[in-house]
Amino acid sequence: MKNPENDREGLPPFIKSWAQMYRIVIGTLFGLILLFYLMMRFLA
Amino acid sequence: MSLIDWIVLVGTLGFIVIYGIYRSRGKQNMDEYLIAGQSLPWYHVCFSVMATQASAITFLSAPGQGFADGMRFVQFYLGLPLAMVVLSITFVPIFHRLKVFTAYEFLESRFNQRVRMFTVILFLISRGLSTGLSIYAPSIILATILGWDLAWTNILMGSVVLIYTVTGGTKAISHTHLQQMIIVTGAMFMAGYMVVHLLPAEVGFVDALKIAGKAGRVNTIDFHFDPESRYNVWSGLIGGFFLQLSYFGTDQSQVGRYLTGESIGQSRLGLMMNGLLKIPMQFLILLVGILVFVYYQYNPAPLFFNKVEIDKLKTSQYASDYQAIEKKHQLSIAEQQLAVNGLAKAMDDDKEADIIRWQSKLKETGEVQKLLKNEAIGLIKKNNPTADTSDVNYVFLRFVLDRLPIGLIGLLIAVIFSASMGSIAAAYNSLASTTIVDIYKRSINAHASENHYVMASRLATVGWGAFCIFVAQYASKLGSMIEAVNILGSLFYGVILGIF
Repeated sequence: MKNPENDREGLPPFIKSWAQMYRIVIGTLFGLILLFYLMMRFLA
Repeated sequence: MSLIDWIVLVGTLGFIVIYGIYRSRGKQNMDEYLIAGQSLPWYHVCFSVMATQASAITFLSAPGQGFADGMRFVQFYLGLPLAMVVLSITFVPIFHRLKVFTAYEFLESRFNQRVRMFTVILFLISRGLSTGLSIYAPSIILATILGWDLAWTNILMGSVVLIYTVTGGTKAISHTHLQQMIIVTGAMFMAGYMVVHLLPAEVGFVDALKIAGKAGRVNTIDFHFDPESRYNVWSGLIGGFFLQLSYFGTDQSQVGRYLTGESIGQSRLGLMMNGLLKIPMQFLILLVGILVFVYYQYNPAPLFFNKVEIDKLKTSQYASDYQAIEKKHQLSIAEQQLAVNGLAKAMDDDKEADIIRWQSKLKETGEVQKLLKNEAIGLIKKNNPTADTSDVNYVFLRFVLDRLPIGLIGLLIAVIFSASMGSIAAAYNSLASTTIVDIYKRSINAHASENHYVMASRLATVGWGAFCIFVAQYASKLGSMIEAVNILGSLFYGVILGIF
């Protein structure tokens, strides 16, 4: 097992910290909500 | 089903079982058997978590729900990415650092043995019964629509998965979850492509979406704060968040999946990718449902998709009443086809007044068909009080059997089995690991050898498999008892989450 204390371990190369990863996930969620809303408006 | 479909079905399931056994061959200790030696990379964690959550009903009911109710169900999952972030910050490092096999071990170190045992018993009862239902729910649909024997379908559904779950443990489950997710996603893309391909030549994918939108089926987002509405952004973000936090954080069937990560980082990344992929995946499944809806705007849809009950009705004392409803249904379909062609032309010509006129005509025929369906359901209930009248479960399977080409039918039936196997395997494994780690090793036999515990885990997996198949066989008679357990479970789930 790799060192569990290494806080950057497991991060994709282009992401600097876990906080940034969490922001990406939450940002994607709100991006999806916006996309779904625009799609609904456009198609209705 | 044709011989080719049977070959595809048996071949796909056989491949999954053999692959699972092959990837987990060799002697295993308890660590390897229960949490894959904490050796798996993030993509195994991610797909394992996704395959555990997606049951067969996901692929049977969700497209039907898209067909009948549109895409608003996707909002149910909006809280999931937030729950994944909270779990990654809190539960994942705690579970990894304590080196636990089950989530409930943590409770003893945090509180005492009684709290741990209380949670364990609640989990075993609720998960054992709900896994029985996870076997029964798709089995009853497959047995009804394909004319298979229900008892044997239950046994097949519950026991194929036992082969690799018992021999290979968690490692086999994780490797097969990856295969299952690849097969399931590929087959759903193929199904979506085929629906568009079966539409009239002049109707493309975007046209189909526009028609679904005009018919009110692309209702993906609802910002209104309405406690009466089951699916809106707020219920998804708030209710969904706590529900997913409880499920992923305190249910061993999920905790056991992300404990297999080779490090805290790999487990976290697996959960993060689940947070990114789950909503688009659910969107895709519902999208197939609304494409099926568009297909049935251009082609005659059955009055009721569960053909078996309609066949019974045709030979009953209510046959003439049914024929009268069916006649009205055919007239309504003719009007609907006129309306959808008019709508498509008006959209091409960009004539706003015509669009509104045909849109309202399409809505009107939809309402008429809903009323006719309810009348037919009334007759079905009179004819057979135990009939399954929730038609959404049968929409997609009926479409697959009636309209898709040979080979793809077998593949999509395999998808339903694969999805079922994924969630059932994780459930068997979590029930066995909790039984052995939290009860047998903790309170009965604390100093046995590694081999002894691995063998005990294998026996516990077989025992829980038999129990769940038994529950599935009697599921229709256990209705009120299962409801009671679910009520009890939902009362305590919040408490358990609070304890954690």
